[in-house]
Amino acid sequence: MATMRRFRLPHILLICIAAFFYAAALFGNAASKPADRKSSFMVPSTFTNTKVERILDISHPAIARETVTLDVENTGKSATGEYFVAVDVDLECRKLAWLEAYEGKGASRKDWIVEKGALDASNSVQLYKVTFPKPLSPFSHQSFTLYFVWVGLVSNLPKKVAQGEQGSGVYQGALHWVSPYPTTEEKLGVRPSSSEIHSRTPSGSLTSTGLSYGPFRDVAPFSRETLRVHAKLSHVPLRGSILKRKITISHWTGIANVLESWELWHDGAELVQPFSRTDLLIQGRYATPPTMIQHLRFDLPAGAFNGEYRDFDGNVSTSHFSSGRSGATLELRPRYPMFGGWKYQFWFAYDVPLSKSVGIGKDGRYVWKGPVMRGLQNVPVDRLEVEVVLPEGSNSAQIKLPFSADEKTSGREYSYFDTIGRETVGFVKTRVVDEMWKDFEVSYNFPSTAYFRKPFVAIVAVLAAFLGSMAVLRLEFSIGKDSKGEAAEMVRTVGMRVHDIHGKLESLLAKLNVAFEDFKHSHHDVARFEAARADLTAQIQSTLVDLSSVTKSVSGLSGDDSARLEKSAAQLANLWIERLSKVRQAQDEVVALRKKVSASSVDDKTRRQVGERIKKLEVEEEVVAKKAETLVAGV
Amino acid sequence: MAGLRLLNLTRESQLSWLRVVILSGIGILAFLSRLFSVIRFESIIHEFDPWFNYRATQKLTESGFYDFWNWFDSSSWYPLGRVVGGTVYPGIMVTAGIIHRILNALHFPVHIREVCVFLAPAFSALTAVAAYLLAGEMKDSSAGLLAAAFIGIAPGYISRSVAGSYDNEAIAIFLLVFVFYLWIRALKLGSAFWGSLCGLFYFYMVSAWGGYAFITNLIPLHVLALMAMGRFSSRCYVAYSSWYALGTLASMQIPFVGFQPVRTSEHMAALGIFGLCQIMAFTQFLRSLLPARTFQVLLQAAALLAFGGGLAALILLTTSGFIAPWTGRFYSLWDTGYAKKYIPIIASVSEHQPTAWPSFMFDLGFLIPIFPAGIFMCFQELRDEHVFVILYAVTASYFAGVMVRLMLTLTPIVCVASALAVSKLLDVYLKDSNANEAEGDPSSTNGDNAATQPAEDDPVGLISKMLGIPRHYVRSVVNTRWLVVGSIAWIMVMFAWHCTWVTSNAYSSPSVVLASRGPDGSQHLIDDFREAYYWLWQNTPEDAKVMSWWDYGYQIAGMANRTTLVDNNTWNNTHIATVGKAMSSPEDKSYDIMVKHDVDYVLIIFGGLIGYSGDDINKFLWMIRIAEGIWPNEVIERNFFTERGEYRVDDEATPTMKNSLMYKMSYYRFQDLYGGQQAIDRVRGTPIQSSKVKLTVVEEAFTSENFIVRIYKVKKPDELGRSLESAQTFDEGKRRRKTAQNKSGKRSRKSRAGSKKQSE
Repeated sequence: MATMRRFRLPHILLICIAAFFYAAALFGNAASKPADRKSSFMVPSTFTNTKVERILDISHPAIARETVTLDVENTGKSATGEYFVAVDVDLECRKLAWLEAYEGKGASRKDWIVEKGALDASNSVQLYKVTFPKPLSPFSHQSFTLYFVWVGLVSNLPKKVAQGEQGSGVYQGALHWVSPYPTTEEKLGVRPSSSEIHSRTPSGSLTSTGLSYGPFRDVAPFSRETLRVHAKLSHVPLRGSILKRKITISHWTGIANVLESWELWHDGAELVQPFSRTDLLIQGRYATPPTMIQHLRFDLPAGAFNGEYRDFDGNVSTSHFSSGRSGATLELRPRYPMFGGWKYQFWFAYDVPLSKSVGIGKDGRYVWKGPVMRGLQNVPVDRLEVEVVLPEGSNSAQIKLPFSADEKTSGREYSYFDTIGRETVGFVKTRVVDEMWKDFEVSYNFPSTAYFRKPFVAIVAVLAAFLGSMAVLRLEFSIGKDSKGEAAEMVRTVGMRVHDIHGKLESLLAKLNVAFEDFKHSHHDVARFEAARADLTAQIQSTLVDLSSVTKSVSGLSGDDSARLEKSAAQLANLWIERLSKVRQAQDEVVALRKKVSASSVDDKTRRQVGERIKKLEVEEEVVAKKAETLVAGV
Repeated sequence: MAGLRLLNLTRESQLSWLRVVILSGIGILAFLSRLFSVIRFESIIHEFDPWFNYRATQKLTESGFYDFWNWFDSSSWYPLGRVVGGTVYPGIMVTAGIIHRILNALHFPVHIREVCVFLAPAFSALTAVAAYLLAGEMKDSSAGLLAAAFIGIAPGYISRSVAGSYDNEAIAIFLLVFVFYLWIRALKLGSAFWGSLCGLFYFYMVSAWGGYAFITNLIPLHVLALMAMGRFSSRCYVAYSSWYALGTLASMQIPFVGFQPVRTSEHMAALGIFGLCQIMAFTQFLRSLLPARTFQVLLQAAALLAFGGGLAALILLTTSGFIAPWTGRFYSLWDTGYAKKYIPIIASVSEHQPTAWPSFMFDLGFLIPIFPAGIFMCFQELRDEHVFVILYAVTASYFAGVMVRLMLTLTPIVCVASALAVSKLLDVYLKDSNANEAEGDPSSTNGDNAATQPAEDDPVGLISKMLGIPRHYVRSVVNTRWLVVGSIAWIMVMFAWHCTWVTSNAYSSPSVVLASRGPDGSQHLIDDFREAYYWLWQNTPEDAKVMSWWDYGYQIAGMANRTTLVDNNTWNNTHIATVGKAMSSPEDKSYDIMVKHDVDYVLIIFGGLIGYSGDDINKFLWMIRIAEGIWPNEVIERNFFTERGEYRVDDEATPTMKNSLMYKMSYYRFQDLYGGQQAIDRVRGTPIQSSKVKLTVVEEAFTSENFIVRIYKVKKPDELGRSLESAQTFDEGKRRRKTAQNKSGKRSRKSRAGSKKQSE
């Protein structure tokens, strides 16, 4: 009981804290998800658009830019700063790429906050909330500008064109600006894709820059009327369905490598007849087909180098990379010229020196800064995936984006000589247009000790390889110390050495004989001969020592062969000693005789006896030599 | 050497250190000399077969070993498909896969393509080591180093092992040489360990290349020769039995080989010698126990009887069909005309043609004249291993003469034998000169003694007399030894020069990319193949079926990722003949075939515009021949030749030729390029037919920049059930009328618009 009582107070505390967090989480959730809860939100009718000037720029078929200059009046009873912008739901989720609100122009321009708001189901519009810098009091006016960027609003008509023909596109959209508030006066200007307009509904009036409609008076909220403009295209609609960018930062090499892989679509009208190279070659003499895409030009940051351009089948050799002080360009020529409906997947990569993109922030962290993307102008990207691979050893990476991403990613990757891998951070964004090519930042910690990781790992690896090989070489792997094969090999080599030694002995003996013959027939100088003989005898003796030492190396081995070899070698040594002594005896006889001859005359009998003794010795030596020969042959 | 002395090494370690350094130098050189194509072009897989190997390796690395083993590739041989796991030698893919996996496990994220591209050069460095070991067994390590140097740069081997040549031979030649080294080693030592090692590497070889049959027959031949020479011993018995038993069992684990080692005639020699070994060993064993003479005679008779019985059983089993008789490929080795008559598919491959004489010199340089000297030296010494060299040299020389491709198996032995000869030569002239110098020193100190006996017949003496210079000066300058050694060195330098030249000029083209030189010497790349293949990949439906001649099957699968009807595997002659028939028949007939096979696109190669001679019109005769083999009544080769027996494509061409789908697709709209002038085919060097080519069942879908690859789309059957030809003529008539209408319609609309404006 005592123990229970002792823990009661902390228990209650814990429960209280848990309850507090739970409640906080609940409220927090509720606060962060207003759109889900209020699915049919009604816009309070607090404003009137006193003047709406809309300019719709569809000169580029892939991207439509809409600038709406507004003058609004607070017709409500209280001051408010929340203005709602309505976007058709189906347009919003598939076509809207960018929306911004600002006040003023040029240098005095001030950007306002635009937030995604509730869904108005009854009017099937998605609302965006523009917050004025300060609330607008009743009956006062405020003018500002909204800027929309749309993708894919122009569709091909006709669907198919001939190879040498330019396509046409039709824009179909709202004649009146869709707004939850009533509008007093509205004007619309359209900049069509070319001056060659096939049809337009309503017809409006032609101006030098395009078409103009209105002014319309007293337009009701959510009034919908269709505008349709069909005109010849002057640009080719291209679209990147996927762009994956991977930026690998390496402090070791001082380089950031950028890899961009594209899946590019030609969204123009398809060819009526399939592509004909013959026609292209014939037409090409006069003009290239207007819908054909043969070159792509990418602007790269200044200082970029090491450009490469590949696709799934390997290197594409028809590219041109040039680098200047202000920036580099990569001019690519796709493997095949592109026509409507065709797709082309490829990737290119380049290096940028880190000195241009990495700095140290205020808090001592490294900060990498670079554009979200740099692509082809007026080519929207459906899905942009950016991944930044940080150097090995860095940690606690944070990413700061110029817009809200659809998804943030992180992971770990391994590259050359990595042990713990590299941290990666990234994001995914759908529908990216030129207006969004802004810089983003990644900050991370990179301790200086991490610099030494790679050389350390390399040194350890090489050292381990050496130590390992040393260990392996010193280990004995055979089962049983002297396997038969080794022994046989040993016996063979030793046998060959015995042969060699025998040969050497023979040559030494031959030299001795030569010295003896010299003595006998030319100089008769006993002292000189004795000296030569002593020298040669010593050599023979040392060679015999060699013989015994050579055979010692097989003495440890088991097996008949080695024992036999050892025995034969010993016999051979004995035989050689015997043979040498015989030769010496015979020579001694001659020397003695020569001495006698010089001292006094010698009778024939003594000569004959000596001759016989020598002959006998020679015969005996012959026998010994034969024995040695057969012995050696048997080894 | 001073450095070595500083290291305090003994003479032995100095030598082994030198050997290691030289050998690794040779290995590195062998690797580097194969990189021309990577430097000149890029790191890319070459030619045709390597593309399949690469694709299979990708499959292996992506989906693992078991999926690869059980891979049924439905995108080739449509609609039959191909059981890849069971019809492939997986050695090279598994090797590359393992290397890739190891590198990735060590955090070296190398792309599998790089592993594949550089596999062959890396293995040729290993081949140099294996050749060193083999030649070392024959003579000594100096011969070994020479052999390693020779095989490192011999063009005969480089031709199949440049970077990017990711084919079975890339690792198989290393295995071939290494298995032979292990066999010699096992035989010398009579060791079961080395014999088993030999068996294991034999298994690796079987898994890598169909050429393993060469080993399977050469080793038994060696043993048989040893038996005939009376050299059969227990060493031989142990080595052969351990190799055969282990190697055969292991090799049967490869699905593609399966039970072949006991069921086909190619493998029967090895089995027979295995039996003979047992009989011989048994006889020897009994002889040692039973000295009685009569019994011995009886025993010998029994052994002979057993051998004869075995042979009879073999023949009986073969005729009754239990053992498959020799295959056609084997027959074509003995009768060079056989393939042309009975298996045109084999004959149609250029590397299966008999070798021309100059190519021996081209591929082996000065090794060819020196190599018989090495063989002669083997005869002089004639140890067991020398018998092997002689047998290998004789058989491989024959095969290399029969088929260009088999030059590859000859190269290692030529290198080894020439290394024996050259090293012997150097032994004689380098070693003796050392000895002489040692003797020369004292003679020069008491030069008077030497001068007292001048020899007039000595060239040195003569020169010294003529010029009045002391003898030893002359000797130091004019020395026969240095003359010989110098000329050998010069020849070797020239050989290295030749090898580099051949490698760079003849064997380093990927053949996927073509290079041409502009008038100013600049290189211009012709990348038509990849252009068209990549277009197919990117812009046709994923399940599209592409019909092409079988040469391009693997490339289409690898570079266009599309289903093909036939490919370089050529396992089904009838299917290939079907494609040949479709190509050589008139349009309506071909259309039936194409519709039956769900063909969506037809791909052909046409070189007529820029003069690329390896195009389909030049291969057309083989298509006709192969089709004729199956349908002798429908496709007749004679009809493609003019009455005078010429193969022509111009106006004189036969109607059969002009109406064939291949001809039409090749020359479709070709005249238009010449703007009304006579169109000239630059490969055949003749003008083409002057009337326009009309296509009705296919329409042009894509043609590459230089017209090398032309892709046609097969039209859908007419909705009204008309023949496509009549539908087209009808449409053309209608269109003519329609365009006329259109023009008038446009005019009227314009006028209407004008009136509207006016009204505004």
